Amino acid sequence: MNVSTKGTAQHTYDAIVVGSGISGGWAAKELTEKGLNTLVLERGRDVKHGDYPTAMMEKWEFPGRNSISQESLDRQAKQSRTGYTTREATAHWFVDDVDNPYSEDKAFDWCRGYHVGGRSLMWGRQSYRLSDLDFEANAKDGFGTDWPVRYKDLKPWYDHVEGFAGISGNNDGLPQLPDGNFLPPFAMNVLEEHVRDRIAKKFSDRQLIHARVANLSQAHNGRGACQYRARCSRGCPYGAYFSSNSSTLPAAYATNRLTLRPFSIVTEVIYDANTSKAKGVRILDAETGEAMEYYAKVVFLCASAIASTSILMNSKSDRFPNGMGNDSGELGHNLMDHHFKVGASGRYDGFNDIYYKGRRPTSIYIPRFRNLGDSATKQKDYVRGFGYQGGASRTSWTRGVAELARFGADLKADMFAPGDWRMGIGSWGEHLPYHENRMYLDHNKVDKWGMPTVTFDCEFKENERYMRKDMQASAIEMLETAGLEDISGFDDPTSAPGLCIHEMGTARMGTSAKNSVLNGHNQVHGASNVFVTDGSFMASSACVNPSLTYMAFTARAADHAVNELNRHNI
Amino acid sequence: MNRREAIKRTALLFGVAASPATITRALAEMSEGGSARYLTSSQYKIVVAVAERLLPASDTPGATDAGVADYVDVAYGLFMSDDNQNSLRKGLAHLDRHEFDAMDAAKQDATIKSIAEDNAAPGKNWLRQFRSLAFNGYFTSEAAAKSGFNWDPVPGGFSPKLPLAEANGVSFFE
Repeated sequence: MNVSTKGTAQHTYDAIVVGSGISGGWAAKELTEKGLNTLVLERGRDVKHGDYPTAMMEKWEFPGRNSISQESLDRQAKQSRTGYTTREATAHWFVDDVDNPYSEDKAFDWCRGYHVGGRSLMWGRQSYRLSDLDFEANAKDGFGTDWPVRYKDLKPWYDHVEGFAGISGNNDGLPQLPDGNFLPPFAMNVLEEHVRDRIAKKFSDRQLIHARVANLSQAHNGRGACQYRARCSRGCPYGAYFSSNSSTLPAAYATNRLTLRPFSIVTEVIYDANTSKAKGVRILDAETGEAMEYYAKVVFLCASAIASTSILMNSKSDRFPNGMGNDSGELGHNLMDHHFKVGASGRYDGFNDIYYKGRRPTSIYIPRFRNLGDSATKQKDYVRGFGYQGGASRTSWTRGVAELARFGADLKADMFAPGDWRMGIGSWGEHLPYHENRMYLDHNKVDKWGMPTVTFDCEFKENERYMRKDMQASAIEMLETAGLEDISGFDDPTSAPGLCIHEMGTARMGTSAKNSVLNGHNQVHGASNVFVTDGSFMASSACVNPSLTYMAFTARAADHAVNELNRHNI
Repeated sequence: MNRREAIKRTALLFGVAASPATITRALAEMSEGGSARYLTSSQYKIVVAVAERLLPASDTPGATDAGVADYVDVAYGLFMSDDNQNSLRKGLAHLDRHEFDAMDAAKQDATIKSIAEDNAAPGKNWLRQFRSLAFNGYFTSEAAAKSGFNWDPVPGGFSPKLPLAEANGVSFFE
């Protein structure tokens, strides 16, 4: 490979951050604010805050009224599997599957965006802390390896990232879902409050609470309050939800210590045998194909779980013949997602004269109530647990489509009015860390840049399947308790790992180089100036949405990196 | 001048607070210029005729006013699988053979009703497909948004328990 090393000085920074999504944005903010000249390398195009082409478009301005075109199905066949990601309003945030192929020994949906901001632009924004129930789970039931940290280590960092990001929610005093540093919650509508009260009355162990979300219920840190348009994943011109583009990257730019280089595909981390550390990274310019090197004292891999692990796998040296940090053989293994697409919904007969105004960008949440460590909540069929997201609303004109024999002016007038109240709750369950669930590189199948492609070999197993039965049955039970009618449960058994877009693991942290890739500060075993702080570090998946945890670990790792640099330890 | 430009010009002409009736009338005039880009002209005229009977002009715009056929045309051309295209075409051809567009309104309604109540699956499936398209084209149109629904693109706040009467019993356009 002909690598350009011209101008070494101009290619040298204090820190390199690979990726600009949720974790990379946080690394950039923290490292620059702590005084480090930082280079962020992003493989895709630049997106500045406000550069959101569909943000203000109305449905009729999309030729297909915001649906998925046949052209998109051809180019984004895998990205389309969710059924919503590649609609006209958001298709441009997801990759082209033809140019960015991957393979599946078993079905795996890898949905991602290659642009500045990454999936922080399209994420679901639900933001929950892990608790010691989660950090102790592997040690207690023996699945996976023990987390090298506990909640007390993370608590100040959750406080820190919530304070900057702006998380709206309520402090509910639940040990399994720790309280936080919240803006006021988004209000519930009339049926949600009714269901909340009925559940509280019937179940001593269950609560229906306000979702905790990275949407601003009030103006915060110079960003605008939510305008209740609920068009979040297109990008918010008001900056009313947390994204790298609206939040962390502007903060990093404000230090004048950030350099961001788009179209920079990091191919490997360069290991220096003399220092037993990384000296920088090698990249390909995505537009010209030119290979280049950049150097720094510290490297943060924040490229997303699968991408960061791929970079480590591709970083081979005499010291690391099987990929950087892979003394344990765990690199690429213990791949997890959450399992979902199971729950129930029903109709409520009443509150017909009550409606709502404004499109709330959030939902309600029912925290985990199974296997909380006591005998009362212990399940015999499965370990760990699940939570629910959901909401109530009045039905729309779509209810009229199936009434085949009704048409004309009266039907049309009816369809302009809100229909019955309905409420649905869907469950998100923990996916255990199984060593054999993995991704690996296929060097015989390369992409258009000549890089090896990823193959997935991952599945849900018995524990998840038993859990799903309870996820559906408990949903039906709670809606029945709340007095809903025509309740129907749902469970999509074809839903494969990845579809939840919470893929994590593959470079887990652990208590030693024998059982893990990273230590408790996200440092690569054997290359202590390389930090990996995206979802790849996760040693278990918990059952809550993970991004807030990536933020907290990233900020903590950045603090540790700067302290260690100052102590000359790395 | 396409329909969207026409509406914008109309709005400019009469001020932003142009009455729904004004916009409706402008839309009705513009809709005469609608034509097929992906369907044949005989398929398109059947789409216009059926959609208008399903969602006729009343005190709110009708399917023709709302440009439903133009949406169906684009949906057919760019947003539909081969199977769905085939099934849509078959039903349109069937109605064309019966000169649906030349029937009077009562006869058209009776024809639709007979398809809805016929136990043979192909007709019913076609009607369900067509209703799904026509309803989507209509209830997500600018005409429906501004002349049928409550139109509030930037709510700016949330009223979690708004009395329905304060919304005049009508949904907000989403």
